[in-house]
Amino acid sequence: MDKHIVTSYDNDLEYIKILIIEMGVLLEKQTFEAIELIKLHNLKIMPTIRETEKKINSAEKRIREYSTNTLTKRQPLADDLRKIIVSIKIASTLERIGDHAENIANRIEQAKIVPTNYLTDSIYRLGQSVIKNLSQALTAYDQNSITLSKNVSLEDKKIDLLYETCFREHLVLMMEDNKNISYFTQMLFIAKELERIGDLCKNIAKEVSYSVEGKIS
Amino acid sequence: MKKSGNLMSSKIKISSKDVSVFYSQNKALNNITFDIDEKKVTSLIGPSGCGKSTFLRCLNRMNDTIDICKVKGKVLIDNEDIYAPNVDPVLLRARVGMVFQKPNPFPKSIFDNVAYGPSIHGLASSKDELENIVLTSLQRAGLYKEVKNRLSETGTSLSGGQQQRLCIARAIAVSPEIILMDEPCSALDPIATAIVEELIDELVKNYTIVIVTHSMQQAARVSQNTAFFHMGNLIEFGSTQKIFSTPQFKQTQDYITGKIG
Ligand SMILES: Nc1ncnc2c1ncn2[C@@H]1O[C@H](COP(=O)(O)OP(=O)(O)O)[C@@H](O)[C@H]1O
Ligand SMILES: [Mg+2]
Repeated sequence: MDKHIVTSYDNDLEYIKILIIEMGVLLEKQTFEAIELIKLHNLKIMPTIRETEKKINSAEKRIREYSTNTLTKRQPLADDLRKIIVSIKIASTLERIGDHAENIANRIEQAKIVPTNYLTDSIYRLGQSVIKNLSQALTAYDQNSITLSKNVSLEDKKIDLLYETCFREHLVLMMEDNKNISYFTQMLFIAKELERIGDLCKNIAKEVSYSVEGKIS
Repeated sequence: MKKSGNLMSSKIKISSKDVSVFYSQNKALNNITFDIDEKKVTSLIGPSGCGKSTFLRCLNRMNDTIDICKVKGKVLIDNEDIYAPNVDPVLLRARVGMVFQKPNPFPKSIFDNVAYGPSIHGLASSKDELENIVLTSLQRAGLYKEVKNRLSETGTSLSGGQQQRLCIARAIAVSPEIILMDEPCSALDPIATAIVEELIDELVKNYTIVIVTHSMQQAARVSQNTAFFHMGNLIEFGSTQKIFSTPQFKQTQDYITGKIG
């Protein structure tokens, strides 16, 4: 990376990147905890999840403020301008991922007792794929990697297929066991939240491509 | 040199073909070839000493006035070689007006500053006609309202921004087709700069404008096409939008983003 003549400009851009990566770590943690809840039902961690959600919101705010300030101070152009615009967009995308993760936790809390005949772990596996792709999208951002960002989009296609499988599987479960319809409905909603997180990871990857190549795909 | 972006097709006003310029033995410009569209603003950017002013001066043969300066290659305006032997440089400079960095009104009245050009070129056949040209030019330069009650005061009594607009009025008064501007705002404050930029937007409807600027933001705001010069070479030329968002060459990118190449 070539340096700017004004060193503090490099520092500003570097700092925005660090803020995004730190926010990304928060999101990986949050999504991971929410997905573990699907399997473990340890509702004791709900307060931690709510606290992390607050941290996520203020992280986004901080990135937006710092980026706006940098735009004002430096009036960036070309790749610098793209980097800052992309940071603002990624921060807002991460914030939305946080909302979906919290929704998952809330739904587990509402779902309460797991039906004894609920043996499938397809939603948990969907969650695992989603978190892997989130992590890949954040690495793509960190490394400015077009290759990784393309992988994210490919993986997301697989995630969509997994989601459809989950969906059909739960429809069948509902038809077979109508006493537990409300539980299965929550599970269906959770699958949908995961699928949405998957889409948002793909959006992050697209922003990375735009930042690196300057083309809107 | 690579042409980037999709330039909207429009009529070519000025064509620079293999233009090289020497000051004695020193080559200041190296085979510059590109076209300038009619009724558009083209900005020339690049580090100090890269040859922007030299290039601008080629377009109205101002370099002829510098003894040690030799121009090679061709500059065509409306497809005619302006360096051809039958071209009168004085008449050429009426077609291709110039505005400089430092506003340079003559030490005469506001009226006379603008009337001078049309008088020496015999553009007005009567006093009324001359007055008409002066007033229209002041209006087009966006200065009329501010000076209409003080036309006999000296041009140097105006503020810097007003003086620059007076120089623009003076350039317009001889009905040029092309206006060259060499860093016209670098001596102006932000408000005066905004007014001149607004004026450029208005002028481009009737004139072809070539502007040298050190402000990337100004180039991005006022021009449709941008040429980036570096050490006497034209590195990149294309639509302004393209040059400032996704330049094709690393030298351009480094310059506009303020990086050490
Ligand atoms: N009148 C002159 N006599 C000798 N050298 C000149 C003259 N004008 C410009 N040069 C040289 O030509 C090169 C380009 O200068 P110029 O066109 O003024 O660049 P810019 O406008 O991009 O700053 C520089 O090296 C400069 O020293
Ligand atoms: Mg100059």
